[in-house]
Amino acid sequence: MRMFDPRGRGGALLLLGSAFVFSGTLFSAGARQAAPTPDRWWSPGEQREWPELLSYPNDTSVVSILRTSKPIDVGTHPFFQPLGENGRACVTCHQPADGMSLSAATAQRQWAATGGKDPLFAMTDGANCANLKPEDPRSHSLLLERGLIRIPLPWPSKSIKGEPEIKIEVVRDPTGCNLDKTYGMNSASPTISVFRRPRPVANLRYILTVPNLFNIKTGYPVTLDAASGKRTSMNLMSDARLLTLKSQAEDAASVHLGATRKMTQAQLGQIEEFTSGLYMAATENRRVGRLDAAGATAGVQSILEGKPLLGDFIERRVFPYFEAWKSPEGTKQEKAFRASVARGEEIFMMRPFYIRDVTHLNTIIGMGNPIKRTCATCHNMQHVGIDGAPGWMDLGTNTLPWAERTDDLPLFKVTCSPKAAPHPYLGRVIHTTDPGRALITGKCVDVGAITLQQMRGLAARAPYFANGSARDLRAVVDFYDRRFEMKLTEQEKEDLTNFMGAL
Amino acid sequence: MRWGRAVLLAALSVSQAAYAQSAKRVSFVACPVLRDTHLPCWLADWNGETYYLGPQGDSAASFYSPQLKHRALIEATVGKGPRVCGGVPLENLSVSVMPEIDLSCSTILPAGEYESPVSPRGPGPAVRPHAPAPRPPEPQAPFVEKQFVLGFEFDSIFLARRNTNRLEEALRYARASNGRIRIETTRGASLLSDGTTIVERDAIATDRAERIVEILVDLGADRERIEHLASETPMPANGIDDPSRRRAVITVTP
Repeated sequence: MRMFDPRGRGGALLLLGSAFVFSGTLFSAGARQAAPTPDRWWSPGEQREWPELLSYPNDTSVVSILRTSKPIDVGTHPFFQPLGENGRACVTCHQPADGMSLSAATAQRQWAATGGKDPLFAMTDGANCANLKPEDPRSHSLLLERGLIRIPLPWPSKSIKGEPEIKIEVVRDPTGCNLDKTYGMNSASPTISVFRRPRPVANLRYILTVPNLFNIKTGYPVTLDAASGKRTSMNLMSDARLLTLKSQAEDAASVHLGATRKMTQAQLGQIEEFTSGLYMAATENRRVGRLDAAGATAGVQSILEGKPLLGDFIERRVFPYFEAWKSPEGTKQEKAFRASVARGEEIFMMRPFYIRDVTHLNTIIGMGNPIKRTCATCHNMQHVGIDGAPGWMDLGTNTLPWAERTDDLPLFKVTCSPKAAPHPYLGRVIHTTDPGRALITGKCVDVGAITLQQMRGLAARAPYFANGSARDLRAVVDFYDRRFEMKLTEQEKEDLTNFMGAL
Repeated sequence: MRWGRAVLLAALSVSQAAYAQSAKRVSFVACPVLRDTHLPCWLADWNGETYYLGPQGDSAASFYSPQLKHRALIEATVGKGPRVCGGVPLENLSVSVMPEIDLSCSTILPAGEYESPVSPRGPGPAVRPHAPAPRPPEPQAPFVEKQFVLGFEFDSIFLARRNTNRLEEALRYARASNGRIRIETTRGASLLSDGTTIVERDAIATDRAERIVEILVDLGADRERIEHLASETPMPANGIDDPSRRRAVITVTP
């Protein structure tokens, strides 16, 4: 038995720190329950080994992380060290078992395991507001139920040139934070709190690729990073407020880890090197085993060997892995599942529907409103499915009338100045649970715009969308079906769900 | 030199007048209409006639599609070919999306008996990527004064891809020739076929100039070597070449 071989087929996978070593696949044939994995949670400061290939099962699949950087000493590496006062490290919200993100299920398990004392639940941003009662699950409901971290953003942002085009009012404040005298919009340091999912720290070669000098959505060059003198992808964060791994790490250390001292350049370099070398994807499925078997070529190796190219082509598909599964091998059940995944990929690539009223897609870039295209029009970068353009757009996940009707997230009324052009589809008065990119630019056209996320390792990191409004992959499909009147059949919905779960 | 320019202008004026007589120009503001053919096509109705604007487009296409929920300014010459998608074809077409929302612009017609318009791609993915455009050669001496013209949609300062390409070209030339850059921008107007004239918003020429300066400086141009002149007096509208009068002219002087 080989301990592991990330490039092999059918090699053994190791669950570190546990007594379970699986030969072949994590899900043995016919198995329906993944083995317990007591070491799923990586606590800051632990002395553990991070192997070349790290794999964890979830409800439907196994997600693996391949490390291509040199071996690290977890015990001293800054990604794993508590750098501030609250005991958190980067790994707290970027857990390998969750595809280097953080699932709501993991947050719940960690709450149950620690009685809410884990640093994850630090009151600064692991609670609905810092002034709530600690160790009360109601104070942490957005993290526990949606996997959301509080993001406090100064308003108006210093990045806004001149006066903002928008005025923001709080309509509903269920967390109490936006109207709080200490933490809210009327505090001494006016701040707007929005609540967002941690984004996966993996496959960053793709996320950071700069396909074009100009952002076709704004007509401006993509932003230059002053420190490196290089152009940036602007795809790293949901609102593109920070553009490089180093600047994101510095910000996260201060805001989320409570660091009072700046990280050293050596620490930042270590984090950049480690995270840049991580590749993550689903590698097995509970129903069929390996996703790079029976003619398919998915799995983490596909990303490692791929290139960050536009994949919206018949001859160069975004996820070119499942062609062989259109005529699948295996048992009856295996054939059925593999065929479903292949059909899901075909729908993703080829089934046109009208995409309408999406700012920064249907607007001034020539596409028109509506445009009859496919999922791959926006999820266009090979192997990860982000939009290389860069990818912030107002899909409607957080703006009314499309957003989920909920009362646990804040609701803002955004009024655009009569001097500015209105939001192209929502006008000059917009209701949103997260103004998105507009909090950084102050522009009416950016209200609600959120950067697309990558699509790998999805099964490990529910819930979905930046505000966690889709509790599972089926809910994602249902949202798109409703939003764009796709008229998907029940079978098509299942196929898309299976396809996304196999990424 | 002046004499030559005057002759050129006179010739242009004569040719435009002759063109206007031989080709019917139309300029109107109307809701665009989408026909739901396999690849959708865009139409607009005006004065009892339906005009064909173009197929569903993308950022690399010469035709930028209009938007439902917004009226569009259509400026074109009526073509002579057969109807396309049920509409009279237009040539020398300029489509400008009006910024304000108009919810009455919501019509999607069924395909009916109409075929998809001719287009390089359908509603799905293209077959394969275009071969990358060859990198333009570095400008070579001898350098002379050279102009680069950027056109704009009505009431818009957005630089579409064709304009950003032209802007990069201008900057390359300025760098190679160590030239100074002068930017002259206009505020346009359009004489509509119903006899009314619409004028672009206040200060748009200034906004166009400032945006171009901002981008050039971002790309590394020396702000000290850029001058700009914005003319906020609306250009005279003639219903013939109004789209070309919404412009920025970038002059590089070695």
